[in-house]
Amino acid sequence: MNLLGHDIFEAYMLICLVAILLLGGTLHVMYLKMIESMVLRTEESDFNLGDLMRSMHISQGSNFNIMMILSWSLLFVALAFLYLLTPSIFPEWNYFKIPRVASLDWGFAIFGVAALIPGALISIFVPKVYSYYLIHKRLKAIAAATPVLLLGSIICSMHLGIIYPTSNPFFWNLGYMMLAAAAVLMILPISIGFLEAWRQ
Amino acid sequence: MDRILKALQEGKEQKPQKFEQLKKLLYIEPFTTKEYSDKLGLGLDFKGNTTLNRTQDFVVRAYVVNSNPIEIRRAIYLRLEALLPGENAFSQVNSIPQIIQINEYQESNDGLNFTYRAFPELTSFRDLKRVGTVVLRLKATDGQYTWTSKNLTLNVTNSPPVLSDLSIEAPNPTRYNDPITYVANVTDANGDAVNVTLHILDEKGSERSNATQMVTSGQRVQFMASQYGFFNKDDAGKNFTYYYSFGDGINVSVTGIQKGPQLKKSTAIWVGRPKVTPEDQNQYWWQSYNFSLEMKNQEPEDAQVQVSLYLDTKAHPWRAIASQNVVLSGNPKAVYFLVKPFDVLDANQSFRYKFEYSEYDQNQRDHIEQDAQAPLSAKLVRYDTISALSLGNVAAILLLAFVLGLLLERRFYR
Repeated sequence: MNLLGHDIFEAYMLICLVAILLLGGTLHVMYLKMIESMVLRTEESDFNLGDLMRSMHISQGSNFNIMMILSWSLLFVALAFLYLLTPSIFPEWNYFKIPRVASLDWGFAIFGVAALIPGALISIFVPKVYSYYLIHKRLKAIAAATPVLLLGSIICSMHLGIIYPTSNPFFWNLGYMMLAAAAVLMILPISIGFLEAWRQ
Repeated sequence: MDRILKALQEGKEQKPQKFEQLKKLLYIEPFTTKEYSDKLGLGLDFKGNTTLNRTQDFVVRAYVVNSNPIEIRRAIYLRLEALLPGENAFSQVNSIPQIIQINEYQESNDGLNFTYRAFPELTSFRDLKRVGTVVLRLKATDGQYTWTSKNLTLNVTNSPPVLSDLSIEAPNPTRYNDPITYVANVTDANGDAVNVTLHILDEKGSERSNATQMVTSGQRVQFMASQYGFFNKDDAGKNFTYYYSFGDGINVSVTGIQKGPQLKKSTAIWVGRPKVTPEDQNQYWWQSYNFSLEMKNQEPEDAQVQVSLYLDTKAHPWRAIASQNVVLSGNPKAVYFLVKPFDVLDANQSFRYKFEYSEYDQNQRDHIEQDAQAPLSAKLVRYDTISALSLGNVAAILLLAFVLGLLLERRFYR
């Protein structure tokens, strides 16, 4: 099925991915509001939200921070590779429309680095978001799978680019699943933190 | 009274001679009273420099002072006369005289009755065929007296046409049958049409042919050699010169002698068997392709010819790929271009190629075109998924992302 030249299935799947990320953002905002209302209930005196956020800060450790910055940067690369590498989803906007880059042996790397830039800009704020949550060691260990999943998604997308114009839906689906799983893992600490606060 | 009128009408029809005699008998000479002054102030009023260009607009007016009071004034008939350059007698400018009626005067502060009359018939000397001194004067009459004004002398000049940016548009080197165009810009400040004649001189400086065109000012004059048949095969190898003569009907000028064209010695070459051999039968865009053409000189001596290769694909229409100079003898010679001419946009596209050469071939053409037998392969990436380059690309992305993560963490979270 095709809608304005774009595959409608893949377009829906993109909406699902964006929804997962938006859900993470929404849960984070709701979590902060919930904490604020809880503090207001227990403490009658006036307090500053900035002070509260400062007092909530928990250092997650350098390794975790680097891993999450890496994961969020790679998320953008994986998204760009999955949707913009071959002309099959967006025929007018794709890597092969930049012939000077696409004709190079290191074209994929250049394309990846270009996608990395917006990812890195956003990921600057990521460790700060995670610092409001109590993340257990076990959860941190699970979250370590995120860059691996994203790397797997990137390799699947690259394979699709290499074999183009032949297509292989299995690799696209696999790449998408890995990307979606990585996105879920990335918002998992926020979701768990929200659920814990909600239960209380 | 009615009877007298009727008798006169009948007399006019039946006895015209008697009627004329009666008219003469009854005619009364125009008369003026004793107070009537026969002095009339008459002058030409002209503002500005008396040296003027042909196309320059001006206003010339008659200034008339009549000292007679309105009761005894008579109508004045005005004529403007001009003595044009090269003519011996004055000619009348206004075919119908201007009439100043008795009540058409203004009174000045010192009691003079004066009036002005402009002449719309003369506002410039645009149509003058010769330039030089023009003398204007006025003649006035009241039916009894005649007055003539002082002469007004004007010096009328012409702006001669100018021919600029003389050049020859032709391929370099130029062959006798190439499109050769002589061009020049024509300007004339007066906006006159300019008659331009091109004179072509041979090696001895003798005029061998000429051609004329009428051009309006501001236009480009173009003489195409093929249209006028200026050159033929016998002219190959000769050097020519040229000049222009041009005029606007008043001034005629001549340019200096200009060089050109220098016609190249003509060579007749033979070409054939254009061919493209891909490095691989799959015809991937990243591969080398060998484009070849057989060529020879049809004359016994050696000839240097420039051969260029062009490629036409949907993404890159008629792109120049390579060029080389080859020396052709009487024996056929294969000219090769081993190139990698395509990029990723050419994948899955068919293509055409063209060899262009600096001499005409056996068909009087300077190029040969050919279609590729099969389109390029649709494959876009030259390496496999499991390959050093593929893994290298992934490793590069991962490494950079990791370094970025490390730097950002150190910069913002330590």
